[in-house]
Amino acid sequence: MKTALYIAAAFQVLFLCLALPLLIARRLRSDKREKIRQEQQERLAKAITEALSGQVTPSDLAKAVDQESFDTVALLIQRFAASTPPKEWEELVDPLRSTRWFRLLVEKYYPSRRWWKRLIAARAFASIGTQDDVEIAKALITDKHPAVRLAAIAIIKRLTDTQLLEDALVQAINARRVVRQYMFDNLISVGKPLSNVLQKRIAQPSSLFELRDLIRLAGALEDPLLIPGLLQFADHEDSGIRAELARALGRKSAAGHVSELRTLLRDPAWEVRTRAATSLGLTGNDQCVHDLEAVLTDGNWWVRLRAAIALRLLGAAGSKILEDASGSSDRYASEMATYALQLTDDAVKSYSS
Amino acid sequence: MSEFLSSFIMRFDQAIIWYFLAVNSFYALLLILSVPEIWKHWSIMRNEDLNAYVGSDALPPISIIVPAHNMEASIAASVTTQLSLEYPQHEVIVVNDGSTDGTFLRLKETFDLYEVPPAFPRAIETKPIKGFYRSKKNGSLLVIDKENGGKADALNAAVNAARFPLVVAVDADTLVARDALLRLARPFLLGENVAAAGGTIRVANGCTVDHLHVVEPRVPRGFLAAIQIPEYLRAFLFGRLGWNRLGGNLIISGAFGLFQRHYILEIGGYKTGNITEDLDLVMRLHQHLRKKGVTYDIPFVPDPIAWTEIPSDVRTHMRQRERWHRGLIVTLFENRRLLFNRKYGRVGLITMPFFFFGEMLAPIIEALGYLLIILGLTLGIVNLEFALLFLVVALGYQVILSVWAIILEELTFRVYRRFSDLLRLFLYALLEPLGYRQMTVLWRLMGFWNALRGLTHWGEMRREGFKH
Repeated sequence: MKTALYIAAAFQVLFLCLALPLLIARRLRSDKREKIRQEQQERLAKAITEALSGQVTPSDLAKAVDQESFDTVALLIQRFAASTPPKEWEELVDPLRSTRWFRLLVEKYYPSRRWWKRLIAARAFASIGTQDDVEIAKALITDKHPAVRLAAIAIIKRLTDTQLLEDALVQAINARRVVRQYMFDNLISVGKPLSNVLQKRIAQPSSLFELRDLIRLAGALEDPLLIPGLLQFADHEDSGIRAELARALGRKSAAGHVSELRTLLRDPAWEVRTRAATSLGLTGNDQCVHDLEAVLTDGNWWVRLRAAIALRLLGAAGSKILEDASGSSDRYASEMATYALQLTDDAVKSYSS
Repeated sequence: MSEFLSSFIMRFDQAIIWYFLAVNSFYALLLILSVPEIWKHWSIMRNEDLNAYVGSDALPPISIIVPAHNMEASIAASVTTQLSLEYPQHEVIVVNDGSTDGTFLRLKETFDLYEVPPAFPRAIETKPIKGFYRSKKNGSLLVIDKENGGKADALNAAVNAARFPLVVAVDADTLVARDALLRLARPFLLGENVAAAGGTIRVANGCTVDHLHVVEPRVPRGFLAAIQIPEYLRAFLFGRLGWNRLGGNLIISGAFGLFQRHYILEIGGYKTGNITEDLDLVMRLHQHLRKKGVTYDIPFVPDPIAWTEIPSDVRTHMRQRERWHRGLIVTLFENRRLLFNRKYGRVGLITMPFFFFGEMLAPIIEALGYLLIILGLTLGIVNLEFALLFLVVALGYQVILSVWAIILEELTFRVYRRFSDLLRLFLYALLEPLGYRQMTVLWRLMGFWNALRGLTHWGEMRREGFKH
């Protein structure tokens, strides 16, 4: 026992004797590296800024890039891509792709077995990817690591390829709710090319869940041509699908479909009524104030809240209805109408966002 | 008789050595398991474009709930800070829990509050509510004025009124980093089944604070506050990260923790009367979700930071540690059905037993160890060489874990930028077992005693305020 304790104590002392000098050495080296990194970043930032203003040639920029460390270039490219107007940024893409740094990205980072290297590649391609990278983009979008997939989805903003969009859509649909929504946000920014992909998919959804998501995406895409195709789901047996339709009809692209929303406001499912009330408020059409007045007495709290907020959004006509309802004998309607009337415009905006 | 006593003391000492080795080896296992976790978050957070998330509708809206009791001096600034956090959509719900000072008046004046009808669902029973107030200056603020019912009751009132699917409980005196909510939402973006998530609590004492945001983290000057930093690093940097890989965390700090609101409602909210309501909530959440057969994660995320002031005087420190341990005992006892219960998977078979034997019983066993060593030395049963070896090995293991935590901190976040702070951290890691540890053992033993007496009070917490 004693011997074991001596050995353990010796190891502990040895560890502590080594730890302090190593920590100090590490700190000194890190501080030095950070200083170097800082200088590299400043140099490269200057080179990119000058290239953007035409003060240095693209080949000079490529030379400057190859003088700096891989990580510094990756970081700066990401930062500048996010903060530079797209048209100006595109002028730098070709020079950046002609560097040794880019070759390293394609040859070592993108095919790496280490996910964090592929993550760096995905972030870089989201900034400087072109049509030549469709296959790389497909691989990164379907990567096995969630962080890589999440970063890679932004590449689709830079490429136009139907198959890539279809792959991205499938990935998004199969992802969990938050990831799906994030991927949808990126898909929406693609615009028209997605409408065609979406139309095909809505015609042949693989499940009810998928159909719900597709309707939500179609609504968010704000393409008026997609709306007529969605109206067929107004009497779908699944309440989630009807709720998504109600949400889609609240968009500007669906203006003129107030009558469908009025019908959905009488839906047996409270989720659908809630969505329909919200959407009616967003349409700005004060013709529907009496429909909303009717649901102020709804048995569901969310429906009443949304109807009251919608009425506030509909201006004077809506506020008049609320004032009348605040004196109503129905406690539900009276309470919610008073609440909505007292809210500041800022609070109403916060509710409707 | 003396032979029997001698043999008993020797055997007990050996048992205690094995206990120390087992507990500290488990901590070492947590440390090893935390490395891939910290690497995962570190790799993602490096060069992460948080603005991309701010501009997206993807992140679920969050209701920040802030219970406040007699916080007149700091409440306005604290709420302003919470309202200005970076996140796509969030509301702040402050609950004035029967303050006897001017907390509510300060809120009313600062945010130009106006009363609104009580048009909120009341899914959880709470003490009577005097009024709901919205702000004319900020549409995202809701203030609930209610009768005093304790922290858990205040949190329940806020959960009732929250309109977003996620709630983040934040103590009114905690400084949440501007981007902490965005970082805390990362597990959602990685597609995890998040039921709750916790961020890192760091020590605000000694740090330079500007507009209620920490601008320069420092190791505090005071001995008592500074020596707690290695403890916090051990607990957050590898303790909780290690649990991510071992079946989920049991502790999501009440000072900064995120929960799915509907799960809180399903389990009936925070338990009033429990002094460690955060621990109790997570334990009941584990039970509920296991029973329901839901696949879930309760991850700890290391980079979202909330800064909190820790006790810097012995009396407050004693009250805090005594309360923590008393709460741990009561909560473990109340949730004892989890212990060694296969139905609850790794939580029942690994996490609970560790908390029971490695955390709850630790002060008793450690105190017994010291007593028997002293007794053995006095009676001449244990020789001095053995006693010293015993102490060196048992306490040295903890020093090693603290130093590892500092190394991990140095390799990743490097929050303390000054060279002198690094050296001081190392020094405090060495000093921790020489007096401070024994002092916390004493406070925890008091917690044991008070738990047996059935005490349920919180004890007054004295705070010095932040250095601006």
